Amino acid sequence: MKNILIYLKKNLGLLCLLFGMQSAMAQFTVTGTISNDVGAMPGATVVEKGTTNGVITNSDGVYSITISNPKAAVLVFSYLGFTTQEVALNGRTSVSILMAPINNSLDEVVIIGYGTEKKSSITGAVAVVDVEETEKSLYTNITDRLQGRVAGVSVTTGGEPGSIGDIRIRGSIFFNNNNPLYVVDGAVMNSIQSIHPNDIESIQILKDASSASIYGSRAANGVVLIRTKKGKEGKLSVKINSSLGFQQIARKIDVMNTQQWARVVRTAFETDGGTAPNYAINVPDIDTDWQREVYKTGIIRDLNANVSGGGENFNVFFGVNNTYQDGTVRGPVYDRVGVRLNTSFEILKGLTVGENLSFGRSRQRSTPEAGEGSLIRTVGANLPVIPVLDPTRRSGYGHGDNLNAPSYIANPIGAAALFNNITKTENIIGNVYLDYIIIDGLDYHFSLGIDRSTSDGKAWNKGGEIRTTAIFNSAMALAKGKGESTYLEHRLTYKKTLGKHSFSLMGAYNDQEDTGSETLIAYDQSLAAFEDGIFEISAADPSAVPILGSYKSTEVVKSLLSRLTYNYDDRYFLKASMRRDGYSGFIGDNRYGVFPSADIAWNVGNEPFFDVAAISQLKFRVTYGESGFNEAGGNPYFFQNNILKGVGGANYNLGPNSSPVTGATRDKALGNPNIKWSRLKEYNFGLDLELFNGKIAFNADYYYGKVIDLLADIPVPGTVGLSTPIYENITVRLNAVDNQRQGWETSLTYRKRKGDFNFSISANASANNIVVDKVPQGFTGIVGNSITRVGISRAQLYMLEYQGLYTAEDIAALPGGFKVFGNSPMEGDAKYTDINGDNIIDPKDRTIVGDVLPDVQFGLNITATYKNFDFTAFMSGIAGRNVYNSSVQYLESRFDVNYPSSYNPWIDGVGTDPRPHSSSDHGNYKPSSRFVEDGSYVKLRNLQIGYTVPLKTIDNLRVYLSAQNLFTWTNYNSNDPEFEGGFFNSGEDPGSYPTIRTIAFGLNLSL
Amino acid sequence: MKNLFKRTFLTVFVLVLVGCFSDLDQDDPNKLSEGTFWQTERQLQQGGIAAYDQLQNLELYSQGVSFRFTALSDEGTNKWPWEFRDFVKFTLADTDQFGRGFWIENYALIGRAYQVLEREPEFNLPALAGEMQFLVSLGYFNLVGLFGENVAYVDGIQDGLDKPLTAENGELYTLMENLLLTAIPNLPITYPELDYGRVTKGAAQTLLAKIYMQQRRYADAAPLLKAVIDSGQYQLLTNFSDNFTETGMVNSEAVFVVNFLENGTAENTDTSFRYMMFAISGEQGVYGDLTATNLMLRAFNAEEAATGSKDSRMDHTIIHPTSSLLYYGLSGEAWAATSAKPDSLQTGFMKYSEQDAVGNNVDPISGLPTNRANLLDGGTDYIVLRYADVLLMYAEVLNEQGMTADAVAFVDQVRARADRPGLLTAYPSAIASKAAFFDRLKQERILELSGENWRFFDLKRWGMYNSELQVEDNDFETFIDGKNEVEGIPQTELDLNSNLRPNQAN
Repeated sequence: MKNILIYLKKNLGLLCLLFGMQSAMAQFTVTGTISNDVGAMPGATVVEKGTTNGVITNSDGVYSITISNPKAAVLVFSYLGFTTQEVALNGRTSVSILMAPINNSLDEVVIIGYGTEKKSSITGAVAVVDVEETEKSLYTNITDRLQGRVAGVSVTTGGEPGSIGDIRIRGSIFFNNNNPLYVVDGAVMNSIQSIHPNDIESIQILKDASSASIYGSRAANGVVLIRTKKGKEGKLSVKINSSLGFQQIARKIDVMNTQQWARVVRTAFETDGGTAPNYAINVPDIDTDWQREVYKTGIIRDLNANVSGGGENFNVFFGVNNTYQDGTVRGPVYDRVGVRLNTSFEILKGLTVGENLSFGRSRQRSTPEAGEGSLIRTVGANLPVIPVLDPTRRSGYGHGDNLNAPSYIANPIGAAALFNNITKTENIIGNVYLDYIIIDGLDYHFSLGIDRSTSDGKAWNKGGEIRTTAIFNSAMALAKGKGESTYLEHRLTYKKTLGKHSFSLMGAYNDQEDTGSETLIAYDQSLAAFEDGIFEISAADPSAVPILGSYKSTEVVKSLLSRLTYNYDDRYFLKASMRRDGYSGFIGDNRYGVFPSADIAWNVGNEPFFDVAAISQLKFRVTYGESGFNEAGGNPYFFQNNILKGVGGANYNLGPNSSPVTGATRDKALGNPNIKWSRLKEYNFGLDLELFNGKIAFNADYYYGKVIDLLADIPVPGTVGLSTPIYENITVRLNAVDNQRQGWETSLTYRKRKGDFNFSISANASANNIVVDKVPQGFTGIVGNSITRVGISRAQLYMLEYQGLYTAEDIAALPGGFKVFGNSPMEGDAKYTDINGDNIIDPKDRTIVGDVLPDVQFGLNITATYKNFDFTAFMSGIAGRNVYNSSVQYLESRFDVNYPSSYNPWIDGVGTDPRPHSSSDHGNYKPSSRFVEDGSYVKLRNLQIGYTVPLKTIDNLRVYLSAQNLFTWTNYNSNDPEFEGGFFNSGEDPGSYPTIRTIAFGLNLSL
Repeated sequence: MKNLFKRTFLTVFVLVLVGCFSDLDQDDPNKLSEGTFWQTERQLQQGGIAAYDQLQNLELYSQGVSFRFTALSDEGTNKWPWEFRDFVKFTLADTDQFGRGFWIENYALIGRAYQVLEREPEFNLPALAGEMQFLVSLGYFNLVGLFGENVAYVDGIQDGLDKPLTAENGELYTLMENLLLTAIPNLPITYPELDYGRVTKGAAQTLLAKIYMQQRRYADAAPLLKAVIDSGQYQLLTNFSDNFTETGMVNSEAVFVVNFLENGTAENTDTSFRYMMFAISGEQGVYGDLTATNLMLRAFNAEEAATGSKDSRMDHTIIHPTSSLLYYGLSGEAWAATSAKPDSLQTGFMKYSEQDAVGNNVDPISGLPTNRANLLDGGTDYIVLRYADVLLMYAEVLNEQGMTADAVAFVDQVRARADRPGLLTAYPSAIASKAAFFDRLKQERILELSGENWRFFDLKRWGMYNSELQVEDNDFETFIDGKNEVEGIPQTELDLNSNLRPNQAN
């Protein structure tokens, strides 16, 4: 390959100008071969030390570099996983190198929060994510890419374009927000959605309370530490990654066709009397498969490119990226553009300043909602007897009517055509820092981080009619939001080594301020404000009075923290830390919390007496730590009751013309001045083992602890005297629940290299159990169809116990007056256990019928390379979880929505499910163990085959074919078994967006 | 040395300029704090307005009160196979469906009123206290009506952690009576026009009379009703139908009214949605959730047969096949055809059906009149207590006390407004005995008051709320005596409050 700078000057002249570099005068060519014990090494890097001049070996391991002064030049040879070597040329023009593999990764330096640590010195449960493997994922955000990668870390992905999954470290323990704390380049961030995953260099996850406690107040859900890519001294590197994929809904709920639906409906009305809908009797020649009409193939496209390099006193990384995704249903689109610049300059010896900044813009067109809940939830529910298009209807889209097809579900195709919802977001995220080595060993670090985003949402619709008896008029809502998070850190670190004793002392001060504001202007459908079709405020009908709203909030956390580490001869390790946080949302004595930690570890492998050749490391770790949590919902002002007054408030109309009069009353967001920190107190016992020079690595952790004073919004009785719709409980925030948590997690990596064949397997598995210790006085723990009770795991399914169908003999044997939800049971009706033996089946017969917390979660990653081919297979899943299939329960219960194909009702003596009735309130449709299913699954998350094209003109070109979520093995009969509901009812399927299957091809190019 | 100076300078600069920021004391910038509100008389008056506002709630007089009491009486039924049908047939097992919203919002009415009542002594505003005492009583009157007497006993501001006890029999009647007896002397007889809608002395007396009558304490009710009549504040309107349409005038027949506003600002729930549920069928933008039984049709037909002339109230009370009025642009005959049900129900409720507002609606696409109902059409004030009812109540009270002859005049006064001949002419046998008069009075109350949710309370007071005495409404075939006299306590409320007892219907 030619000198890369010449190449760049021709092709990427602007980028060269950016770095202000000039083409070197070529005078001498140095060549050679780089190999290891098994053969030549293509793709190894050769850099002239102290310059940006560098090349990469070709497919035969041969390099050729042009330099100006072979007498003075030093070449640096490097390859990931091998020890870097520096060779002074001393006038030679031919140098061949044998590279030695790094025996293990123990010398790797990892970030632990407010500093770094050698991996071998880690005492807590800190997982180092293999970022290279996550880059094979087709997800466009880093959270989703962590799915299944780390023992004890689970991610539930959403399929909607632009959505970001929910990540759980050691399971959900808190009421509302179970997301970990994200720390990007040292600064605490609220969201990492705008960070392109290919800009990320390393990820560490702090899982145990001790490791996380240095982050104190919000760290009890664990901490994800992210470091973005930096330029490296030497060769200027250009990388381009591109992929194009096609996406489809991976699983659907099969529903009935017209004839099947009509038969069940007719039977229901024959049983109960009344007149069946006309179309169930005079069945029309219409058979719409709504899921086929609505679901389509979507496109996902990702392109990112970066340039990086550096000199003796500076380094630069510059990246651009664009992600585009259009949904698997009609309507939604997500488009994101981002730019990143990370630089650092040593402006004086020992004084470095730098910044890591990214700018992003995104545009998200959401799935249309037309007043009937999410499209995904209702698409399967539309009746097959309704046509997609119907010119006799007001807007031309088919919908139900009372006589023929009584359905109140909106036509999803019509909804996508008439309803729009677009959100544009812009953000800046990053930090500016200063590092100052005051004296040898004593460093001062200053960092100011920001996370700013503005969002501009607009939802609008034309007037029309897309469901029964519901004309809507034109409407528009504009919402502007701004979120500003500022993070400030001053840190002093002192490190000293005296013989075999090394210690470090760190102290820091932190400020974190989060402010948010929103304004809203909405013209609802009753106002008919935009009948001319121009959706701007200036075009609104002057008589229409819009809804106005605004909201502001500020939250502040101030912290002081310190940490001491001590290490004797890499055999004995000690760590202790202390953090004190003050939080603006708590008042009085509850405001401040102190979070300590203490660790010890013993590396037996380094003991002189321990001499087992096969074992390269054997380390035992014990930690104790406390970390805190300070939120349960969005409102930071929960310490006081507020007054509801003003626009949209408790105003009345007096006088014969109903003139408005201002009212004021207690707001329904109940306050509580007594709340304080939730606190996780946890022990962690760990073991790290490496065998055969790193061929096998094994980690295991067991943890046990308590989550006390957990903040939760507890529903209160309606007698509290606050007005609210019944689907929206009045709640009070309390330090309500104490839990015990224990669990284990383990991971195993095996690497094998034989000739051209490289092979590695890494597997992880974890499980945890949370048992409730305390609930508030008088709280029954029943929320939805679940119960949270002392002494058992949280959110057990609490409903009727289904025993099968009543036979004629059963009916005859029933005692007189036996009723099931008010009805005398008939043959073929559902039989439930009469728990209290009162001969009446009603809510008093509910009992625990399922445990919703999984027994084990696991991930398995296999990678192999052979010559120029590489292969990856990655799967993950959970086992031993019961879930409540609320989707099927809903569909079976109503004749005005379609029935699932799996519904096989008892009709004339045939059928395995309870007989159909016309009322959704009938006992046959009550939540019961009949709808409780095994929620276990294994998903083949990723399957990828790559080929590195042997080209001499460029450093590296790899093409690949990748499939994501290709298969799901599960017995669960609904869209997706992968979900997590609310805290008190986490096993009830919320019917969220189903998993998306993606087939993509792409390329990685390095110049 | 120069570099050291530069470094030190830079570091000091950083520490001084961005050493720290923001304060831990953060108040809510969006809302007033309860702890610092309630300082002035004006604020307490605003608390009172908030209690009135609750009357406009969808679960209360915007829709819910009328819907529930009409559905559960023999006036209302449902032909469609949804949860409404189970509700009208007394077979709905889900006690949350129609119970919980009614529970929450009536306790919210009570709660808002107590927020004022508990603070009133600091300001000494006995009239305001009287208004709130009335609203608490009205909330309990509704709750006891639907769920029976054993609902939660709340007599003050509730904390989020409070788990109130179940009221024992008699406790809530005693509470309501004490509140109203305290209120009556403090309430004004009337208000300036701009305060039309506030609780008057007459309203409190009428409500207390109703509370006594439901306990069959007729002698206690009599002086209250007499005082209302003798106050001279109320009189029957010339046009019966003006009570149920938007007139924009002070209604001298309304003893207590809930104000509504057509096209009220969308963020305040100022609009009545009653008409949305009360149509004959699910057409023309309204829902046939609660259709009329033939009870009213038969009563009006019987009146016409007995007197030889059509009762002028008929077409303003129900839509029926031979009505002279249109109903959402269609004739009664056309509506009867949409019904197409085997039980030949052909009527719907006309009162409060907002025909005048609906007439102005145009199609968003064609721009032509639709005669279809739109959201926010409901601007007619809802009369909770009507003077015609007071007159008929007084007649009933007198008759119950053996003063049948004295009672006749009050019935005739109501009949006369509808151009009906007096009882002596039309039904001479009806004034012959207490029992005969009582039978006549039942019919008179149907003719005058049906569709105004009093039939439910009438049936209960008269001991007719059971499976046997209902011939007009086959919904009662599935009524279980000893159970369906009350609705079950909402299951979620039982789940959330361990001090609450299930009742006979749970």
